[in-house]
Amino acid sequence: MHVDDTTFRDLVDAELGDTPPAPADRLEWVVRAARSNGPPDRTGRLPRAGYLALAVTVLSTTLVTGLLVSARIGAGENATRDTGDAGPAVVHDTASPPASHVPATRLGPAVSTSSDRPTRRAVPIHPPVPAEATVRPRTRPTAHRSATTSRPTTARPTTARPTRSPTDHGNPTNPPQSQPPSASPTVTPTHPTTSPTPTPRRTGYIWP
Amino acid sequence: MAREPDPRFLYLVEDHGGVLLRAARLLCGDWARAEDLLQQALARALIRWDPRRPDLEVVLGVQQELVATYLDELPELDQTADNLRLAVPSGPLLCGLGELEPMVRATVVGRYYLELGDRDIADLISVEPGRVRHVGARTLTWLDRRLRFAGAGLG
Repeated sequence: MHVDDTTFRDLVDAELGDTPPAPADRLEWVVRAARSNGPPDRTGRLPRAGYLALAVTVLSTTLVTGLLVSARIGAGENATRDTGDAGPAVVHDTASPPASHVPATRLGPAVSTSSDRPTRRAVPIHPPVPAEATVRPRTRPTAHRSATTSRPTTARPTTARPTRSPTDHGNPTNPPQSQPPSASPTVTPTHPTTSPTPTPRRTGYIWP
Repeated sequence: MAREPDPRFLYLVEDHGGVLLRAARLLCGDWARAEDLLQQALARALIRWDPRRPDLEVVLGVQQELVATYLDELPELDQTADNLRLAVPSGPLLCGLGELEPMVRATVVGRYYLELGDRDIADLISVEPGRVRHVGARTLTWLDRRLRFAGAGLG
Protein backbone atom coordinates (compact mmCIF):
# COMPACT_ATOMS: atom_id res chain seq x y z
CA MET A 1 0.00 0.00 0.00
CA HIS A 2 1.11 3.51 -0.72
CA VAL A 3 -0.09 6.69 0.93
CA ASP A 4 -0.25 9.91 -0.99
CA ASP A 5 -2.59 12.86 -1.21
CA THR A 6 -5.11 10.92 -3.30
CA THR A 7 -5.25 7.72 -1.29
CA PHE A 8 -4.90 9.14 2.19
CA ARG A 9 -8.60 9.67 2.70
CA ASP A 10 -9.62 6.22 1.52
CA LEU A 11 -7.01 4.51 3.64
CA VAL A 12 -7.97 6.46 6.74
CA ASP A 13 -11.66 5.75 6.20
CA ALA A 14 -10.83 2.08 5.88
CA GLU A 15 -9.08 2.15 9.23
CA LEU A 16 -11.86 4.14 10.87
CA GLY A 17 -14.55 1.72 9.75
CA ASP A 18 -18.19 2.62 9.97
CA THR A 19 -18.99 6.04 11.29
CA PRO A 20 -21.34 5.90 14.26
CA PRO A 21 -24.68 7.58 13.53
CA ALA A 22 -23.92 10.48 15.75
CA PRO A 23 -24.19 13.54 13.48
CA ALA A 24 -27.99 13.50 13.52
CA ASP A 25 -28.09 13.53 17.29
CA ARG A 26 -25.35 16.08 17.48
CA LEU A 27 -27.16 18.18 14.95
CA GLU A 28 -30.15 18.28 17.23
CA TRP A 29 -27.89 19.54 19.95
CA VAL A 30 -26.59 22.23 17.67
CA VAL A 31 -30.07 23.28 16.67
CA ARG A 32 -31.14 23.35 20.28
CA ALA A 33 -28.17 25.48 21.20
CA ALA A 34 -28.95 27.79 18.32
CA ARG A 35 -32.52 28.14 19.52
CA SER A 36 -31.44 28.94 23.04
CA ASN A 37 -28.67 31.34 22.16
CA GLY A 38 -29.87 32.71 18.87
CA PRO A 39 -26.43 33.38 17.44
CA PRO A 40 -27.40 34.33 13.88
CA ASP A 41 -29.79 37.03 14.97
CA ARG A 42 -27.65 38.65 17.59
CA THR A 43 -24.24 38.48 16.04
CA GLY A 44 -24.67 38.57 12.32
CA ARG A 45 -27.54 40.14 10.54
CA LEU A 46 -29.44 42.24 12.99
CA PRO A 47 -26.80 44.94 13.43
CA ARG A 48 -26.60 45.44 9.69
CA ALA A 49 -30.36 45.62 9.42
CA GLY A 50 -30.42 48.00 12.34
CA TYR A 51 -27.89 50.33 10.75
CA LEU A 52 -29.77 50.21 7.48
CA ALA A 53 -33.07 50.97 9.17
CA LEU A 54 -31.46 53.82 11.07
CA ALA A 55 -30.02 55.30 7.90
CA VAL A 56 -33.36 55.03 6.12
CA THR A 57 -35.13 56.65 9.07
CA VAL A 58 -32.71 59.55 9.20
CA LEU A 59 -32.90 60.15 5.47
CA SER A 60 -36.68 59.98 5.37
CA THR A 61 -36.97 62.30 8.36
CA THR A 62 -34.64 64.80 6.74
CA LEU A 63 -36.55 64.64 3.50
CA VAL A 64 -39.94 65.08 5.14
CA THR A 65 -38.65 67.95 7.27
CA GLY A 66 -37.24 69.66 4.21
CA LEU A 67 -40.50 69.26 2.35
CA LEU A 68 -42.48 70.62 5.27
CA VAL A 69 -40.20 73.62 5.65
CA SER A 70 -40.30 74.39 1.97
CA ALA A 71 -44.07 74.01 1.91
CA ARG A 72 -44.38 76.29 4.90
CA ILE A 73 -42.19 78.92 3.30
CA GLY A 74 -44.24 78.71 0.16
CA ALA A 75 -47.44 79.03 2.13
CA GLY A 76 -46.05 82.09 3.90
CA GLU A 77 -45.21 83.79 0.64
CA ASN A 78 -48.61 83.06 -0.76
CA ALA A 79 -50.26 84.39 2.34
CA THR A 80 -48.26 87.58 2.02
CA ARG A 81 -49.30 88.12 -1.53
CA ASP A 82 -52.88 87.05 -1.20
CA THR A 83 -54.12 88.40 2.08
CA GLY A 84 -51.83 91.31 2.61
CA ASP A 85 -52.69 91.46 6.28
CA ALA A 86 -50.40 92.68 8.98
CA GLY A 87 -48.90 89.32 9.95
CA PRO A 88 -47.05 88.29 6.84
CA ALA A 89 -46.28 91.88 6.01
CA VAL A 90 -43.96 92.06 8.97
CA VAL A 91 -42.00 89.13 7.71
CA HIS A 92 -41.95 90.64 4.30
CA ASP A 93 -40.72 93.93 5.57
CA THR A 94 -37.91 92.43 7.58
CA ALA A 95 -36.51 91.06 4.37
CA SER A 96 -36.95 94.31 2.59
CA PRO A 97 -34.05 96.39 3.93
CA PRO A 98 -31.67 95.08 1.30
CA ALA A 99 -34.38 95.77 -1.24
CA SER A 100 -34.01 99.48 -0.61
CA HIS A 101 -30.69 99.30 -2.37
CA VAL A 102 -32.03 97.27 -5.24
CA PRO A 103 -33.23 99.03 -8.32
CA ALA A 104 -36.95 99.31 -8.65
CA THR A 105 -37.04 97.20 -11.77
CA ARG A 106 -36.04 94.06 -9.87
CA LEU A 107 -38.90 94.32 -7.45
CA GLY A 108 -41.63 94.83 -9.95
CA PRO A 109 -44.19 92.16 -9.14
CA ALA A 110 -43.47 91.93 -5.44
CA VAL A 111 -43.82 95.64 -5.06
CA SER A 112 -47.12 95.72 -6.79
CA THR A 113 -48.62 93.48 -4.14
CA SER A 114 -47.22 95.23 -1.12
CA SER A 115 -47.53 98.76 -2.39
CA ASP A 116 -51.10 99.12 -1.24
CA ARG A 117 -50.36 99.55 2.40
CA PRO A 118 -47.57 102.10 2.02
CA THR A 119 -49.73 104.01 -0.40
CA ARG A 120 -52.51 104.21 2.10
CA ARG A 121 -50.13 105.42 4.77
CA ALA A 122 -48.77 108.12 2.54
CA VAL A 123 -52.10 109.35 1.32
CA PRO A 124 -53.11 111.23 4.43
CA ILE A 125 -49.74 112.97 4.47
CA HIS A 126 -49.79 114.13 0.91
CA PRO A 127 -52.10 116.71 -0.37
CA PRO A 128 -54.50 115.80 -3.12
CA VAL A 129 -52.65 115.27 -6.37
CA PRO A 130 -53.80 114.87 -9.89
CA ALA A 131 -54.68 111.53 -11.41
CA GLU A 132 -51.20 111.07 -12.86
CA ALA A 133 -49.66 111.62 -9.48
CA THR A 134 -51.79 108.98 -7.81
CA VAL A 135 -50.18 106.39 -10.02
CA ARG A 136 -46.74 107.46 -9.05
CA PRO A 137 -46.55 105.88 -5.60
CA ARG A 138 -47.25 102.54 -7.18
CA THR A 139 -44.37 103.00 -9.56
CA ARG A 140 -41.91 103.63 -6.78
CA PRO A 141 -42.79 101.13 -4.13
CA THR A 142 -39.19 100.57 -3.26
CA ALA A 143 -39.01 103.89 -1.64
CA HIS A 144 -42.12 103.18 0.35
CA ARG A 145 -40.97 99.76 1.37
CA SER A 146 -37.64 101.01 2.52
CA ALA A 147 -39.38 103.74 4.33
CA THR A 148 -41.65 101.30 6.13
CA THR A 149 -38.75 99.33 7.49
CA SER A 150 -36.47 102.03 8.73
CA ARG A 151 -39.16 104.68 8.86
CA PRO A 152 -36.93 107.50 7.75
CA THR A 153 -39.89 109.57 6.69
CA THR A 154 -38.16 112.71 7.75
CA ALA A 155 -34.62 111.72 6.82
CA ARG A 156 -35.50 110.51 3.42
CA PRO A 157 -36.80 113.77 2.08
CA THR A 158 -33.59 115.44 3.12
CA THR A 159 -31.76 113.64 0.35
CA ALA A 160 -34.45 113.34 -2.26
CA ARG A 161 -36.65 116.28 -1.83
CA PRO A 162 -34.14 118.98 -2.64
CA THR A 163 -33.84 117.62 -6.13
CA ARG A 164 -37.40 118.63 -6.81
CA SER A 165 -38.40 122.08 -7.43
CA PRO A 166 -41.71 123.42 -6.32
CA THR A 167 -42.47 124.27 -9.87
CA ASP A 168 -42.42 120.65 -10.99
CA HIS A 169 -44.69 119.52 -8.25
CA GLY A 170 -48.28 119.32 -9.27
CA ASN A 171 -47.59 119.90 -12.90
CA PRO A 172 -49.77 117.45 -14.78
CA THR A 173 -47.74 117.78 -17.93
CA ASN A 174 -44.58 116.25 -16.48
CA PRO A 175 -44.09 112.51 -16.91
CA PRO A 176 -44.37 110.35 -13.78
CA GLN A 177 -40.67 109.35 -13.76
CA SER A 178 -39.50 112.89 -13.44
CA GLN A 179 -42.08 113.75 -10.83
CA PRO A 180 -40.94 113.82 -7.25
CA PRO A 181 -42.87 111.98 -4.61
CA SER A 182 -46.14 113.51 -3.69
CA ALA A 183 -44.97 114.12 -0.15
CA SER A 184 -42.40 116.65 -1.20
CA PRO A 185 -44.51 119.75 -0.68
CA THR A 186 -45.41 118.75 2.81
CA VAL A 187 -41.89 118.02 3.90
CA THR A 188 -40.20 120.87 2.18
CA PRO A 189 -41.39 123.43 4.68
CA THR A 190 -39.97 121.37 7.52
CA HIS A 191 -36.47 121.60 6.02
CA PRO A 192 -36.25 124.91 4.32
CA THR A 193 -32.47 125.07 4.57
CA THR A 194 -31.89 122.05 2.42
CA SER A 195 -33.88 123.14 -0.54
CA PRO A 196 -31.55 125.87 -1.81
CA THR A 197 -28.36 123.83 -1.75
CA PRO A 198 -29.43 120.88 -3.88
CA THR A 199 -30.89 123.10 -6.52
CA PRO A 200 -27.71 123.15 -8.65
CA ARG A 201 -27.57 119.40 -8.53
CA ARG A 202 -31.08 119.08 -9.78
CA THR A 203 -29.99 119.80 -13.32
CA GLY A 204 -27.74 116.75 -13.61
CA TYR A 205 -29.62 114.31 -11.43
CA ILE A 206 -32.25 111.96 -12.77
CA TRP A 207 -34.64 110.40 -10.38
CA PRO A 208 -34.66 106.65 -10.86
CA MET B 1 -35.38 35.75 20.48
CA ALA B 2 -33.64 33.06 18.50
CA ARG B 3 -34.69 32.03 15.08
CA GLU B 4 -34.95 28.59 13.63
CA PRO B 5 -31.73 27.63 11.83
CA ASP B 6 -31.86 27.82 8.09
CA PRO B 7 -33.04 24.47 6.63
CA ARG B 8 -30.26 24.74 4.09
CA PHE B 9 -27.70 24.76 6.84
CA LEU B 10 -29.25 21.67 8.38
CA TYR B 11 -29.23 19.95 5.03
CA LEU B 12 -25.58 20.73 4.46
CA VAL B 13 -24.66 19.47 7.91
CA GLU B 14 -26.54 16.24 7.39
CA ASP B 15 -24.95 15.81 3.98
CA HIS B 16 -21.39 16.40 5.15
CA GLY B 17 -21.74 15.37 8.76
CA GLY B 18 -20.07 11.99 8.23
CA VAL B 19 -16.88 13.43 6.78
CA LEU B 20 -16.79 16.13 9.42
CA LEU B 21 -17.19 13.64 12.23
CA ARG B 22 -14.45 11.39 10.89
CA ALA B 23 -12.15 14.37 10.54
CA ALA B 24 -12.91 15.28 14.12
CA ARG B 25 -12.12 11.70 15.10
CA LEU B 26 -8.75 11.95 13.36
CA LEU B 27 -8.00 15.11 15.24
CA CYS B 28 -9.16 13.99 18.67
CA GLY B 29 -8.58 10.27 18.58
CA ASP B 30 -11.96 9.46 20.15
CA TRP B 31 -15.48 9.32 18.81
CA ALA B 32 -17.04 10.89 21.85
CA ARG B 33 -14.69 13.83 21.86
CA ALA B 34 -15.05 14.05 18.12
CA GLU B 35 -18.78 14.51 18.54
CA ASP B 36 -18.23 17.22 21.07
CA LEU B 37 -15.73 18.92 18.81
CA LEU B 38 -18.06 18.73 15.83
CA GLN B 39 -20.91 20.13 17.86
CA GLN B 40 -18.80 23.09 18.89
CA ALA B 41 -17.64 23.64 15.35
CA LEU B 42 -21.19 23.54 14.02
CA ALA B 43 -22.35 25.99 16.64
CA ARG B 44 -19.55 28.39 15.69
CA ALA B 45 -20.31 27.95 12.01
CA LEU B 46 -23.97 28.65 12.67
CA ILE B 47 -23.04 31.93 14.29
CA ARG B 48 -21.31 32.99 11.09
CA TRP B 49 -24.03 31.54 8.90
CA ASP B 50 -24.78 33.65 5.85
CA PRO B 51 -27.55 32.30 3.59
CA ARG B 52 -26.10 34.17 0.61
CA ARG B 53 -22.94 32.05 0.60
CA PRO B 54 -22.84 29.08 -1.74
CA ASP B 55 -22.78 25.54 -0.41
CA LEU B 56 -19.10 24.97 -1.05
CA GLU B 57 -18.17 28.03 0.96
CA VAL B 58 -20.43 26.94 3.79
CA VAL B 59 -18.91 23.49 3.94
CA LEU B 60 -15.45 24.96 3.73
CA GLY B 61 -16.32 27.30 6.57
CA VAL B 62 -17.53 24.42 8.75
CA GLN B 63 -14.33 22.49 8.03
CA GLN B 64 -12.24 25.47 8.98
CA GLU B 65 -14.26 25.91 12.13
CA LEU B 66 -13.64 22.28 12.98
CA VAL B 67 -9.86 22.65 12.76
CA ALA B 68 -9.97 26.01 14.53
CA THR B 69 -12.06 24.59 17.34
CA TYR B 70 -9.66 21.69 17.72
CA LEU B 71 -6.73 24.07 18.00
CA ASP B 72 -8.61 26.15 20.54
CA GLU B 73 -9.46 23.11 22.63
CA LEU B 74 -5.93 21.72 22.62
CA PRO B 75 -5.23 22.17 26.37
CA GLU B 76 -8.20 20.00 27.29
CA LEU B 77 -7.53 17.46 24.57
CA ASP B 78 -3.89 17.01 25.47
CA GLN B 79 -4.76 15.89 28.97
CA THR B 80 -6.29 12.67 27.69
CA ALA B 81 -4.34 12.29 24.47
CA ASP B 82 -1.92 9.69 25.83
CA ASN B 83 -4.69 7.63 27.40
CA LEU B 84 -6.75 7.69 24.24
CA ARG B 85 -3.78 6.73 22.12
CA LEU B 86 -3.18 3.65 24.25
CA ALA B 87 -6.79 2.73 24.84
CA VAL B 88 -8.22 2.97 21.36
CA PRO B 89 -7.01 0.23 19.03
CA SER B 90 -6.48 1.48 15.50
CA GLY B 91 -4.47 0.87 12.35
CA PRO B 92 -0.98 2.13 11.49
CA LEU B 93 -2.23 5.36 9.94
CA LEU B 94 -4.34 6.30 12.92
CA CYS B 95 -1.56 5.38 15.29
CA GLY B 96 0.83 7.47 13.22
CA LEU B 97 -1.56 10.41 13.34
CA GLY B 98 -1.87 10.01 17.10
CA GLU B 99 1.89 10.35 17.46
CA LEU B 100 2.03 13.65 15.63
CA GLU B 101 2.11 17.04 17.24
CA PRO B 102 -1.31 18.69 17.32
CA MET B 103 -0.32 21.38 14.81
CA VAL B 104 1.15 18.81 12.42
CA ARG B 105 -1.90 16.61 12.85
CA ALA B 106 -4.19 19.49 12.07
CA THR B 107 -2.10 20.25 9.01
CA VAL B 108 -2.25 16.68 7.68
CA VAL B 109 -5.95 16.20 8.40
CA GLY B 110 -6.87 19.54 6.95
CA ARG B 111 -4.70 19.19 3.87
CA TYR B 112 -5.26 15.53 2.93
CA TYR B 113 -8.57 14.59 4.52
CA LEU B 114 -10.62 17.76 4.44
CA GLU B 115 -8.74 18.96 1.36
CA LEU B 116 -8.40 22.49 2.61
CA GLY B 117 -6.10 24.89 0.85
CA ASP B 118 -2.63 25.66 2.10
CA ARG B 119 -3.55 29.25 2.74
CA ASP B 120 -6.64 28.29 4.71
CA ILE B 121 -4.62 26.00 6.94
CA ALA B 122 -1.88 28.57 7.23
CA ASP B 123 -4.39 31.11 8.45
CA LEU B 124 -5.70 28.67 11.02
CA ILE B 125 -2.33 27.74 12.53
CA SER B 126 -0.64 31.08 11.87
CA VAL B 127 2.22 29.93 9.63
CA GLU B 128 3.23 30.52 6.04
CA PRO B 129 1.50 28.51 3.31
CA GLY B 130 4.87 27.17 2.19
CA ARG B 131 5.44 25.82 5.65
CA VAL B 132 2.09 24.04 5.53
CA ARG B 133 2.98 22.48 2.20
CA HIS B 134 6.40 21.38 3.40
CA VAL B 135 5.21 19.90 6.70
CA GLY B 136 2.28 18.17 5.05
CA ALA B 137 4.41 16.51 2.39
CA ARG B 138 7.08 15.42 4.84
CA THR B 139 4.51 14.00 7.27
CA LEU B 140 2.74 12.14 4.50
CA THR B 141 6.03 10.58 3.48
CA TRP B 142 6.60 9.54 7.07
CA LEU B 143 3.12 7.99 7.27
CA ASP B 144 3.68 6.15 4.01
CA ARG B 145 6.89 4.67 5.28
CA ARG B 146 5.18 3.66 8.51
CA LEU B 147 2.34 2.04 6.61
CA ARG B 148 4.78 0.09 4.45
CA PHE B 149 6.67 -1.12 7.47
CA ALA B 150 3.39 -2.16 9.06
CA GLY B 151 2.34 -3.95 5.90
CA ALA B 152 5.64 -5.76 5.85
CA GLY B 153 5.20 -6.77 9.46
CA LEU B 154 7.88 -4.35 10.70
CA GLY B 155 5.67 -1.68 12.24
